[in-house]
Amino acid sequence: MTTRRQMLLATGAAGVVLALGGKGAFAADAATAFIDDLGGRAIAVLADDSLSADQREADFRDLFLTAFDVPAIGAFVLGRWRRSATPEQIEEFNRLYTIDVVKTYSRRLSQYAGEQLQTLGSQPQGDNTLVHSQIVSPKGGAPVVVDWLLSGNPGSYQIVDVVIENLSMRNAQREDFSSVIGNGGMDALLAGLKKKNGVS
Amino acid sequence: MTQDRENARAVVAVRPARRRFGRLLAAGMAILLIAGVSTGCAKRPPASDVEAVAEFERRNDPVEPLNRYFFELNRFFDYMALKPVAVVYRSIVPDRVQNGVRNFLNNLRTPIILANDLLQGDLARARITTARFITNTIAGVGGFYDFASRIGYPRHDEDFGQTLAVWGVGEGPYLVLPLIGPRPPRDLVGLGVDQLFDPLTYVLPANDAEVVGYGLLAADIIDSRARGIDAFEEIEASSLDLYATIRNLYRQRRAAAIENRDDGRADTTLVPAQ
Repeated sequence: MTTRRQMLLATGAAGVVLALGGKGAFAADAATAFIDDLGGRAIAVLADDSLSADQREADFRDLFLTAFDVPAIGAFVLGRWRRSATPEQIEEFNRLYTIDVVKTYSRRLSQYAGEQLQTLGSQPQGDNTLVHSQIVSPKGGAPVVVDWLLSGNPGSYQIVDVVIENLSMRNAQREDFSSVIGNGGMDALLAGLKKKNGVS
Repeated sequence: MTQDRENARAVVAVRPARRRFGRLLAAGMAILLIAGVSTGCAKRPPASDVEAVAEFERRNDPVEPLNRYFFELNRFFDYMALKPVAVVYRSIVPDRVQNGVRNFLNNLRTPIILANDLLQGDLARARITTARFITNTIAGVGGFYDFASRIGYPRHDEDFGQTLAVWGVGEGPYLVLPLIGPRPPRDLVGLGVDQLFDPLTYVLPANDAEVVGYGLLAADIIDSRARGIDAFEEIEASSLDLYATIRNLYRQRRAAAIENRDDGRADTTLVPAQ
């Protein structure tokens, strides 16, 4: 009886080692580990019932602002308009865009319903690194493919683009902002960002 | 002979109502078009502003005011009719049935996908399309169950717009049409040619069963819209100029579909009506 139990335990332990080993093989690459870790921390903040709403929002803010290179994304989405804007407008844009990024990703996370983020490895893309992942819904159905474009090196990675089902978010946003600025100038964009995020 | 003539008369007796509806629709479209055309064209920036000209050309949207007009019109139709129906459909029809409907419609699309696989010279994908059709029609009970995906034949989509792109035809200027949504000339031609590849285009009218075709089309539109509800609300919430964002996303999605970077989902994940 004992031997049987020992055998069961040993088999179980081997299974755990195999499972960890399998996961370790993916996480061996630092960029993939970065996204894995980020997903885990976001879920941890979501799952922590002891946090007040304000505290949770503050935690998300810290998480996003370290993980995303908001100034770089902001510069990308402004494109050519950046050069014709005044320093005051740029400063105001950076302030509002930071609020916007935090709001957008908080909203997306608030719809969280038990989905799992599975990383699938990475590949270099120019000077950057692209991490592949998919989001699997507990309800079943086809997983959503999400790619994360990272700048920097191991230890200093930051997200510069999120590509959902082959759709680059920064690319879409650049066209969005460019259209607003083209029609009403930089001030129209700043007013639009204020209105959208309910800030002054 | 007399039998035939009687049939012909019976058909004639049914047709007028349909034709009247068609005429009404055509007249409505004509009025909308005239109202839209009066909005004019997009202004080309002066040649001295090199960057602005480059952006104008990249945007490739010479009839932007007209497109925006139809875009808003489609949004209004969506708000008044399509979205409410899709919301109800999503909430009362069980997930299993919804997936069955989607699988069934996907299976019916096989001839179009196969024709375009072959026209693109992609024999490997044509083989998968054929294997899927046989598997799902038989083991998937007429296509309601996607058994093929489970045994290593994943779904992909193709259309003649993509085939034209593979042949080197450019997309052309951006175009938004009433009810149909974004369809630049290449994809509009593709939509028409795909109808010719579809046996149902010939089979249904020959059996005086066009109504089945309308039913399938309605199911397709409602199911696609229902699947896009959350994604589209997220896009609405995160963009300032929804029209410009959708224009960009449409082109990114088509590029992914043409290069087969998607798993055939690029054509169904976003709202078709927009």
